Amino acid sequence: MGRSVVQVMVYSQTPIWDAPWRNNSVGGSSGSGFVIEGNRVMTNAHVVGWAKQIVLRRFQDPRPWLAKVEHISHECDLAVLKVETPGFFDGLDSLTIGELPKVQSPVITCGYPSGGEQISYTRGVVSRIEMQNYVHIGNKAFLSVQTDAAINPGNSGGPVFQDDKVVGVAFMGIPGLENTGFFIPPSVIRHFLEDIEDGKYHGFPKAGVRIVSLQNPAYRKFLGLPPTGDGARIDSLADYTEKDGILKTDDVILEVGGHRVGSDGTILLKGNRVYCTAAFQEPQDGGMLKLKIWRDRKEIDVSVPMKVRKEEENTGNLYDALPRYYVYAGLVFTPLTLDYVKTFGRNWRSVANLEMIYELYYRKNEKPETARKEPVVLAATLAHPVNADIRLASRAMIDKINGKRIESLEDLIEALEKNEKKQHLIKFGSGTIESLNAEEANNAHKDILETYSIPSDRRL
Amino acid sequence: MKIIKSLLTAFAIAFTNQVSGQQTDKIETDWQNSIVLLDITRKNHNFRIPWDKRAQSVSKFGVVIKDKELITTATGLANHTLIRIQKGGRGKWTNGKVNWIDYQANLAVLGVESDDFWKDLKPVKFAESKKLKKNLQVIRWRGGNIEKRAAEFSRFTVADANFNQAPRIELKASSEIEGAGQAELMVSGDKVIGLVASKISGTCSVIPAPFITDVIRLRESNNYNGLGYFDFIWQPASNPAVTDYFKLEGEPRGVLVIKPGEKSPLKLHDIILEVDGFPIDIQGDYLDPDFGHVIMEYLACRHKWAGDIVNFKIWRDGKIKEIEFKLPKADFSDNLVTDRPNDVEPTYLIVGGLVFVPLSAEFLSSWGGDWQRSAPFRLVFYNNQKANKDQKSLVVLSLVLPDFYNIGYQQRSSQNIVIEKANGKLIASLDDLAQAIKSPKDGFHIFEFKKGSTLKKIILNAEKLDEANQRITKRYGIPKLQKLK
Repeated sequence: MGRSVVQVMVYSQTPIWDAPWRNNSVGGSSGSGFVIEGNRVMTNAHVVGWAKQIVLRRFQDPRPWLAKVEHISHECDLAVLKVETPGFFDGLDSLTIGELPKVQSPVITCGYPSGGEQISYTRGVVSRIEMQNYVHIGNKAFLSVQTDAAINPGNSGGPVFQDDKVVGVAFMGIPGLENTGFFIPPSVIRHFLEDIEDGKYHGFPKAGVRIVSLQNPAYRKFLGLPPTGDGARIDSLADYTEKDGILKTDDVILEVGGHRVGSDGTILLKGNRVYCTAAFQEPQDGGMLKLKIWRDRKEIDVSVPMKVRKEEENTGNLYDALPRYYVYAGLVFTPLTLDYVKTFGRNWRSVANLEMIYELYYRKNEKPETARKEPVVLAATLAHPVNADIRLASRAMIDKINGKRIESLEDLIEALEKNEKKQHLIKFGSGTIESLNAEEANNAHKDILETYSIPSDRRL
Repeated sequence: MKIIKSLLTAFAIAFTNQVSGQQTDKIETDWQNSIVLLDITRKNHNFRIPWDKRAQSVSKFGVVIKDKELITTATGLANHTLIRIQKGGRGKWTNGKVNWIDYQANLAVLGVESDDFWKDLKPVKFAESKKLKKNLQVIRWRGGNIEKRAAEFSRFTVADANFNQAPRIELKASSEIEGAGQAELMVSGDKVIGLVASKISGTCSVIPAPFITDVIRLRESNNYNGLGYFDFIWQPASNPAVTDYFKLEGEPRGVLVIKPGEKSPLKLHDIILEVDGFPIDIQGDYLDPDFGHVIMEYLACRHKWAGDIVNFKIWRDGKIKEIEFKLPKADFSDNLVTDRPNDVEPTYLIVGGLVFVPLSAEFLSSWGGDWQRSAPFRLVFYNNQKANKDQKSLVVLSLVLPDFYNIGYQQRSSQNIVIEKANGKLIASLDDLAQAIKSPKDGFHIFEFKKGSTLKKIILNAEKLDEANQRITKRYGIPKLQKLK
């Protein structure tokens, strides 16, 4: 089995989100991976994210093998690699994906963790199975298995075995907790593999509902249900779900995808009680999810078309797609994203102004009618006489430019490029106004790009 | 000859030192009869557990002014139950009372009934505007003796209050004195420079004497109307392209109004050029004859009070215009997040273990001085939002006292959420809520929270509410189910 476990050596380079044409210095790191059917190698997305070069090492084989990412899911932290050097798979068996292991059952992790050069095995038991926030994406939870088998840096992407089958991909620990490692269970691995069967990664669909427990006897009575019993309540809907009109608030979900839903919002999944969102993640993009719902004092069957949603993308970590930006007369504009606000430092929440946090996290839920498709910020100002008088030079939300409300970076470019007045007028989210002389700004534009070695004034 | 001259000089210096040393000693003796120790017992409220009252003891200082009165800062006097005053730094304590207090101005005048108390006490003299910078000392009682510590003038600043726009002029001075900020006296020679309102690291914030004397004078003549303020928000006009855009003629100057207030005649994008004859620079500062360059906000309180007229020269629609601005009173009780910096007891309403409180400055402050960062973001953000006709203020479900009656609503997601409706009625105050509770819907109380809240809806059994209320108050030792006023 160990022969099919490989070391993944990566050189990667991340962008600088507040100077988006620049990159941080190249860094080296390593993880683990394993051979799966179809002459592919599976590993974690976070092992190969932003990779510039991926080299694989086989078990007790000194030769380097060049690989590249074929498909990657930053949501569920999985990636599939293709090996470019021929002959890599000779003599290697592909590993098969097993079933969700039972709590208390023994598992063995396998990989190339830090602390040595050779392959390493550790043994442990399955501690518990729950929905967990996946830290790589940061804003999504998936089913996750906790084990006391040691999982250390370098183990990432390595298989977790039970009875010669892969029952998980080791992927994270939680700082401060001892003897706890987490691995990605077979259901999530299979979802990813099925997703990419058509040669394209789509993602995990989202229902856009907030489901809360339904345990208060008064609330149950109000809905015409017995004081105790099954069913969890839809407390609120995302704007897009509300528009679809299929699910409604105060719908009680009795069953989802064939799983009975308890009053605390959990389902029984192979002997484990886990939050019912696990069942919402089972269909693929465009698939249907069957629900049994209690609505208007009647049990009804509802089929919900499940779609991948991009609305919340900017509140999670972004990978592999270089940041969008536009530089004009030294003013650097970029979309408001979590990655951008993280440039303020570890305590970015205290540093960022309140409007920015509201825009990023709250507005689309509270006032979707006023939300912008892609809020844009002035990230920095590259000093030049033409912009030297601008006081509010960075970390500011853009409201309007030359009278045009800015809904996206494209809007902003159009507002600046199509302006025929003598001056550009920039209105910020705070109400502050700044202005540039249009002719001077146009003249200085090229000079500034050269001075600061910006290859292109935009990346869209 | 040279030698003799330098010797003479040396002698003269030595002599001068001796004389000034003697003077200093004499003045110290005098302060003993002017500064008193205050021991205040107050009810310290926890706005997150609003029925809980804790007695708190506050030690501070007061200084004798004329007509048998003392002046001190207002800090620590809110909700006082007992004021004890000690003179001479030791011995007998006498009961005192508050004759007058203004929390925005942060000043209070105290009195003592017994005439005996005032024997040997001597009113202080306050310094003039021009003489606030040199030879500063901080004076207080410490272990039965007068303690004096040197202080060094740093600058004058205009500070906003914690929640609102009420401006205050402050003198900043650095001093090594420990734990100051309890209305210690800052003096220079035999004059009072001001009262030390607070001290953060090495810097004392001092309420300066000219402000104190103004307040005392107005109060005596019954003409004190409270502080006024500028209710608009401006930005510096330091970018010439911006002033060009508004076609301001001449050199860039003044500031640009970006959020006009509701109470003032200023409009969006007015450029303020002069206030009361003082030209405003592109930073928003003006040159004050007494205090040097300070921010124009001070012109809302430079010998001006609520209701007074301040004259503005502005640039509007390509023309210079003169307008009169009647200073609104610095009263923020009608803000969406209400701010009443006075003797308020926390109000609350408990319904089946759900504790509702008004979203107020006091409530947010219960997260500490750093409330803007440590209180729940969504609640903090309401401080940026405006009240309107239907929503003059807000009510928060701040906590749930667990009981089987409210099972299902005891998670963190049902804490610190703002209510929208109860039993179908819009809720803007505890009174609204108390009224709404009187009309349950088909045997249920239905609470709906603002869109985007971590929990949108709670339903309780109306028939069993009284029974649950009784059980919950008993179990958690809560004296009263509600306090609405």
